[in-house]
Formats: sequence, C-alpha cells, structure tokens
Amino acid sequence: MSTKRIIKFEKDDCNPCNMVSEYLDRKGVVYETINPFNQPELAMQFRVRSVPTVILMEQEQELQRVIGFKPEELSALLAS
Amino acid sequence: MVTKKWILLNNEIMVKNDDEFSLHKDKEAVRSYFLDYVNKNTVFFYTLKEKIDYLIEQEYYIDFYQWYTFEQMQEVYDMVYAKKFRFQSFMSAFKFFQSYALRDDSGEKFLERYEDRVVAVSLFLARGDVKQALEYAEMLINQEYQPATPTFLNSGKKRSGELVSCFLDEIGDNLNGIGYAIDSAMKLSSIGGGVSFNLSKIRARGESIKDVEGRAGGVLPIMKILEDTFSYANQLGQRPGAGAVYLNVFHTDIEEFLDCKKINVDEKVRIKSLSIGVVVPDKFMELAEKDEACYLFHPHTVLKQYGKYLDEMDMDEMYEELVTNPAVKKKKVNARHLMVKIAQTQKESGYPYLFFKGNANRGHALKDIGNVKFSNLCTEIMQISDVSDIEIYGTEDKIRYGISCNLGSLNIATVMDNKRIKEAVKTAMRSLTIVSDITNIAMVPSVQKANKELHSVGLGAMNLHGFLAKNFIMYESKEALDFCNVFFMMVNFYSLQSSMEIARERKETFVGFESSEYANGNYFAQYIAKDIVPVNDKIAALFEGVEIPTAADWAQLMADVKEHGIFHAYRLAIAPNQSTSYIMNATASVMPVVDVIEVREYGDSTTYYPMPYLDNDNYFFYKSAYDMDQKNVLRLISVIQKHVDQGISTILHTNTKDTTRDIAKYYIYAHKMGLKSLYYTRTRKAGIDECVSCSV
Repeated sequence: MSTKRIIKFEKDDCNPCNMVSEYLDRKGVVYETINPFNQPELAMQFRVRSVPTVILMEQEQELQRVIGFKPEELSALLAS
Repeated sequence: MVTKKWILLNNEIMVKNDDEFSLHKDKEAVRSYFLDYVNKNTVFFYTLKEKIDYLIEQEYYIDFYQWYTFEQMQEVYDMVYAKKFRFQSFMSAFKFFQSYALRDDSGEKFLERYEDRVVAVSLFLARGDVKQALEYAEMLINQEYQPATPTFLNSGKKRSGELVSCFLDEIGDNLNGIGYAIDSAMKLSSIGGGVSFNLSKIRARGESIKDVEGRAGGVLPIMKILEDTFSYANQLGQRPGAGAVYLNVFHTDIEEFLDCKKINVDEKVRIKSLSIGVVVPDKFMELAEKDEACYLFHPHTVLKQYGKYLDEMDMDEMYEELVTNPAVKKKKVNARHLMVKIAQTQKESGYPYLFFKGNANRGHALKDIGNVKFSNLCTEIMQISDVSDIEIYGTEDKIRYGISCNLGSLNIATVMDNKRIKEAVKTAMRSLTIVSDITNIAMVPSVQKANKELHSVGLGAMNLHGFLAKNFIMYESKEALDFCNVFFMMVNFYSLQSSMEIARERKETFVGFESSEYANGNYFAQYIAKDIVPVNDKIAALFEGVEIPTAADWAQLMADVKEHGIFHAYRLAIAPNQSTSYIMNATASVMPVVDVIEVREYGDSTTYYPMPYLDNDNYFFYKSAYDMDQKNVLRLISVIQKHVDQGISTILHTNTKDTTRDIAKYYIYAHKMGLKSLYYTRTRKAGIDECVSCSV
C-alpha cells in the first residue's frame, strides 16, 4: 500500500487549474485540493507561490512538485 | 520611444524566479525614479532659508512669517527630514509627485518633496503653535494619518482651493429652492467640493403646479441642469466637478430616476456624470422581503394633505395611511421587482448608491434634533439636514442646515505598529477641527450655518486589509472581526474624548448638544455595560502594550461629556480614499483589496503596484474582494459600523455570474446587519489574463 499522496493547490476561475484537474481526472488519480486563498497558512507551509501547484508527498516528505499546467512534468510526477 | 528606467524596473516585479515575484525590484524602481527623474527636476536651494523665502516671495506659499520665526520653521523641517522618509513603492512616489507635489508655474519643476508638503500642511494647520505643528508633522511623516486630498493638496499654498471635501443640501419644492440649489452647486463645485442634493422633496412629473394638474416636470429636468452645472463649474479645468443626487424610493419618479443611468436609454434623459443614490426606508425592505405590492406616492399630494414632506415621514408609521388616503395620488408596483430593477441598474452602471434610512437613524445621536435624510457622493456622510425656505428679494430667507464635512483617515497599520492610536486620533481630530474652523463657505449660507454650528468632521481609516495580511490574518476571519471591534471602539473613544477636551478648552459645544444622546448618556450604554477586549489570543498580542479603554473609562468619559459637552456634532466617517491610500502605501479604506498586484496603465506605460506589505510568504492573505463571500465583507463592516457615528463607504464586489437576485440578497443582508449605506457595486468580468496568481 502506497503512502504517497497528491495535493493540488488551486482557485476558482483559473483555467490552468482546471486543465490540471482534467488531466489528473483522466488518469484516474486521487488528489486533495486546497484553495490557498482560503487556507493561506497551508500555502505558507508548503511554500506555494501560485496556482495550480501539484505536490507529490510521501508521509511528510515532498518528492516532487509541478507548477502550472505542464503535461510532461505531471506525467513524470505520476510515474514516480 | 524609450521606456523609462524606473518603469522597466517596476515591470521586473512580474519576473518570476523559483515561482516567486521579484518584489524587491519595486524598491529599485523608487530609487531610480528619484535619481533619474525627481532629483533632476527639482528646484535646488542652497539653504532652507532661501527655499522658504523664495516660496513665500513668489507667492507659492502663504506668508508663514506671520506665525513663525525662521528658527521655529527650521525646527519642524529638521524633525521631519531626520525621519528619513522613504516611499515604500513606486506607485506611492509616482502618485505623490504626479498629483500632490508643488510645482513651479511652468509646471515642469518640483518645488516640494514629500517632507516639504508635510511641513507646509503642519505649519498651516497649527497657525503659529510650534508644538502643535511638530505634533502634526510627526503624525504625517510617520504616515499615521492622512488628511483628505483637498486639505493635503491645498494647505499652506497661496493660490489654492478650499480644504473641505464634501457638501450636501436639501432642495425645496419651489423655483426659489431649486434656484438656490443650482447656485450652490455652481459655487461649491468651483471651489472643489463634491456636492450632493436630496431631490426627494421635489414634486413628481405630472403633478400640479399652482393647482393646475399635469404641469410639473419631476426630478429629471433638475438632474439635467445640475449635471450641466457641475461640468461647467469645474476647478479651473483641473478637475471636473462632481455631484450626486438622492431620491426616496417611494417617490413616483423613482423608475425614471433609475433608468437615466441605463446606457441604452434616450440621450435626452440619460445622465452620464451625475452620481445617483436611492433613499431606502425600512418599510421598503420589509415590503420587498415579504414580496408585497409597493405604492409609490406623488410627494406634492402628500405635502398638501399632511403639511409634511413624504421624505420626512416615518414610513413605518405613515405608509398604510398614505395607501388608504384617496387624496394621495399613488402608483402600484411590486416591491421585489423594484428592488431587482435597482440591482439591474447597479449591474449595468454601478449605480445607484443605497442609503438605508432606518439604519442611519437608529442610534443617531442627534435624533431629537433631526433626522438623517440622505448621504453624499461616497455614502459615508450621515448628518441632519433641513430644507431652507428661500424667499424673493427683499424678504429674509429662512436658512436651515445643509451639511459640510471635511475628512481624513488613520493608517491602521502604522498607528498599530507605533502603538499610537490615542495620540494619532487626538492629533487627527485637532487637525480636522482646524479645517472646520478656517472654512467659511459664506456663499452658501445653509452649508455655512451647518459648519459654524455643528463643526462636523469625518475621521476614517485605511489599510485594514494591508494590516491584517501583514499579520497573517484573513480578512474574512473571526480574528478580523475581533480586531475591528476593539480598534474602532478605541477610535470612537479617543475621538469623543478629544471632542470633549476641545469643548472644555473653548467652552463651546455644537449647537443642540443638550438635546443629544451624548448629553443624556444614552449613547454610552453599549460601552459602559461591559468591557470590550480582544477575545482572540492573536489579536490580544497585537494590542500588547496598548491601553484599551475599559467600561469604567467609558463611564468617566460619559461624565466628562455631560459636564463639558462635545465640540463636534459628528466625528467619524469612513471614506473610500483612492489616491491618498497610494501615497500612504495603504490598502484603500476598510475594504478588501481587488488584486494582489494591481496593474495600471498610464499613457503608454504599464505599472505594477504590489499591495502594501506584500511578500512571497503572505501572498495568499491578499484574497481579492471578488473572490470573497460578500456576506463576510458586510459582516465585518457591520462590526465597524457599531463604533462609527456616521457611515462607511461599502463597495459590493460581484462576478458576472451573480444574478440580480444575488445582488438583491446582499441588499437585504446589508440592511439586516445594520449597514447604513452601500456605495458602488462593481462587477468583475471573467478573464484569464487578469489572474496574476495563476501559473500557465
């Protein structure tokens, strides 16, 4: 059983955010979403600077992150 | 054309490194703006004496030597320059030099830096009292308080406009009254004031004149004349005149009043530059909420029946009576439809403003003297007014209260950081009082009477969102409510205390004090019942080292007020402050920010303005007003309103997907929460280009 999880920082009315979601949904990936404007403390904790930001976590360790809609990087993140 | 160096540096803010904006570039932009532009275009003087003498001799400044020796002035200049003031953002510096710094008559060279403007304002307002001048100057250079534009721009200048920003008056329902209003509009507009009129007493279109039915033109023709008057009487062409008119929602002209703002309406009735506001009594909100029929009344038939203006009636009491009286002419509409029409007009044009008459008069400290009937261009002024009787030549007019108000704003972040709420409020109240003292609008006697007898001022606040974000507090949070409750209670306390002290010194109160809620003690009930203290630890920490007035302090203040009275009939009002907030590096008023980094086009260049105190860590605390639940915003304003005797300019931020019903729901919520007014409704157009926080 994998202990990895994916967190996606996003906001409403943000096209690249929607594109990332579509991509992840198509791949059948499960992920949590956080709106940094509603939970800025979490954004600070993860040092998120813009949306969309997708972070791959294992326990409390960050393995990888993808900022913006970048299919190749996302695919690499999902493969790891 | 070569783009200027400081603009390029400012634009580099947007370059992202490691997903972080290069915010530090803005400081470099300020530096370059000074080195490469301001300094090169500033008239150089070898000594301070040479500078002061030149400015006075060339008639840029008034003769400050009538009040001060050179050494005294030097003391103020030295204190101010020793503070080593630096603009925190390019936009602040740019705004100051573009709009406020004194220039030579050619308009090409600067004669003042920020420090010099601060000293000129301080020397002017202190009128020879050096100690007072030093206090003003310290408060201004610390950026703890900012006078409204007319005061900050004009103080100390030999050739300048007035210091007061805001005038209001009633219009009587006859040609003399209308003529007086037009005459006042022209004169007040030419000296730089924003002017607002209450049209609610004017008879409706189609009513009788001298008992001949169908002759009255209604309110629209008067609006047309006023609009032309304001655009004619501008301030030497530098600034267009600005005016607003209010109409009671029960006036039969209300629908055409709203239609005049529609873009697709006939040119003959379209009102472009005049702002409009609707006076909304509680009764209307009740009818709309119950989804009932609503009758609009012909005001002249009401006056003839009852000897009283429709606009001055308590509609809770009189509505049914007016509906059943056959001699009162009326028109039946649906209340909810009318409310949706208001929302629709707001969606299209941003107007009308709404003035909630019931809320404005509940808790009104001068309620036994008169009612608050309408508001001003920015919907924060709420004072008594009464229509004057203007007679023919040779017969004496009966002049009653117009409204005159001068404004200024505290900078919440700096007064909190410096732990100087008490000092700043008191010094600000002194400076506002001086402005009222030296204002004499003799050409409009109703406004002059109000200023002379009521000495009203409007102290407000700015930088709320900036202060909260800087301290990692969300604008919509419970902590923000807690902070505002304590902070504005303190502003209320110290402004009252200051007003009492001024009354004690001068042995003079505002006219009518004895009949006010201040004199009988009712006003203090909410404060002497229990202490107001921060409930949240984080907020308590922000107030550490600051003495918060207790219920006992309020009880003492109540006793002092009973004994000495207070000088000002009205003290607090929170204005929207646009340009002054840029100079102060403050977020505007108590409203949330609209963008994290504001994009501004000036001529052929684009400039970026990162919100005050923005850094890459607190970025997401600058949530846009458009992304907030408006009910959270209204809730916060309602907490502040409890401590403000006048009103608060409150803007609704909506999105294209919000329907007119959604907007109408905000009206109902705002009214329920005790807000006294709503200013513009702004609608964000959906677009991806505007998303600064999105990565593509």
